[in-house]
Amino acid sequence: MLGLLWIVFVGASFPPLQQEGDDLPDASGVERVRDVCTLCHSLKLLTQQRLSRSVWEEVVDDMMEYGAPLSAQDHHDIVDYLSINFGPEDTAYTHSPIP
Amino acid sequence: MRDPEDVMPDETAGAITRRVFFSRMRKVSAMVALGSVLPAGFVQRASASESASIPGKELLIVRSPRPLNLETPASLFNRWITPNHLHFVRNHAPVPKIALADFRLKIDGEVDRPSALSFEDLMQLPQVTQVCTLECAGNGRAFYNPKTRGNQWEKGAVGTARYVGVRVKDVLAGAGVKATAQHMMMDGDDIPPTPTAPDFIRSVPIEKALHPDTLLVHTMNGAPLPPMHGYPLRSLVPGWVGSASVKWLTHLSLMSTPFPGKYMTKSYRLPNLPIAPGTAVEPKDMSVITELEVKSMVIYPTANATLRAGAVQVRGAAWAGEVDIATVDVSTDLGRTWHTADLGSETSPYAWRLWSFQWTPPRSGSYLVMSRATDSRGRIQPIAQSWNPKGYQWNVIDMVRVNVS
Ligand code: HEC
Repeated sequence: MLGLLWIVFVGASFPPLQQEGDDLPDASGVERVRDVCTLCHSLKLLTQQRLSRSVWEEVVDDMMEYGAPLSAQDHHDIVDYLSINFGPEDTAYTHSPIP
Repeated sequence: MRDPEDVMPDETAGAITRRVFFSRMRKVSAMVALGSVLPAGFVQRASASESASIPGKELLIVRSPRPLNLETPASLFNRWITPNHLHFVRNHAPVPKIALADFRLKIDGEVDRPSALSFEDLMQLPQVTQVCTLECAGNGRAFYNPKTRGNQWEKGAVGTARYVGVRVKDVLAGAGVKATAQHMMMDGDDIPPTPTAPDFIRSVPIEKALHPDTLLVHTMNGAPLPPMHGYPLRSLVPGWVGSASVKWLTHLSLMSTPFPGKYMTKSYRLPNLPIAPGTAVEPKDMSVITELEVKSMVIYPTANATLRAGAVQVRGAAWAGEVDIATVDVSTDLGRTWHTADLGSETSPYAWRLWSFQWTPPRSGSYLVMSRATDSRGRIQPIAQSWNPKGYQWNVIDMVRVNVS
């Protein structure tokens, strides 16, 4: 609740010039990612990642613990969004990254 | 001798302005929010400047602008000392602004006389110079497969600088270390974005803290520590992963046990048994990372470079935490034969060693240039990397693909 109030307050006082994340892949869940995942840090922290669903779940759990204002539904939607759009590029394990 | 290139004035003008802005905003928000525990960091709202290069660090790769995480492109490591404007930055929270006059280093916990030292007090102690290579524990994380969470550092979350400061043991002598003191906690003035996000606090065992080479430093390459690097004071725990060296340091506390915060108990830990890639590890099977691994990197040629036929000077750097580099070997035939590289003349305990190797490709084509370091303790870089859940301590033999025309 507090978190929500806060977002309203910040949003009203300082309308972002150009919202970060305008270039995020447009898919279901993108609005919540854009709104919530920019509160404490840059989106680059997440757009750098290519993680499996289970790791994304851990990440979003941690962010909620840190104070990300997310409902259970948001959590579900964001994990979906991230694991589809920022999932592993290739799943085969190679023991050594021969360039 | 001071190298003019080592000093970049006003290194974080942008960060400070931003910080002042946010701290003003925090005050406003505190009033509006009825004195509740408002998450300070929530005011660091996104802005259009997110993708701009960072003032004072224009040549670095921006892994994250907020908090600042900046990587040195490997091609820029052409000297033993990394100038301040090229040195990598790994921050967990916004850069705090500390006025020298207000600065105090608080010392408490298992000591006879808890105290608070001013910057002047510290300057009265014997001053020590130390060249030291600092490497982020996550350097090379981007190469792990399966991928692991965190900044996707490639080769450049490492750098070598000349620091000046005072010995921790001299600082603590005045306070009187009790026999019950087994660990030293270090806390800086950087503030996490919310009260429930972890504060970056670390501890090291007392033996390492009291080692004569463990310092609290105020000068980096002849300049006051730049704000991004911990102005006015940071610890320098030489030979250990970068996270052991805490920036904007304002509090030392001696404890009978390791500090139990998240950056000790959840991050910066490695499995203490070999595990299959991608598997979860029980917390009881993980230990805090301490010393750096033995490691080398090829600096020149750069990845995917095209070289003209003829002799080429392969160059790189190698480091090994608390011990010295013994040899660096280079292979250009996929590891069938190895050739000893020449080690550079510039040396210091805890500092990387530059190396070079004269190579004449036998014919045109595509080659892998590999480097493999061995240290004075006999540790050698592995052929394959053991995987770990947070992608730390990447130190497999380095390989760079080049094309000879
Ligand atoms: C309440 C503040 C907060 C919010 C909101 C938040 N994060 Fe974070 N996030 C953090 C902190 C603190 C860190 C750790 C920073 C560090 O140590 O460098 C972090 C780090 C990360 C990392 C780096 C990986 C790691 O393990 O450190 C990822 C990925 C990430 N966040 C994703 C997200 C996503 C996705 C969202 C939106 C659901 C989000 N964050 C929202 C506070 C937050």
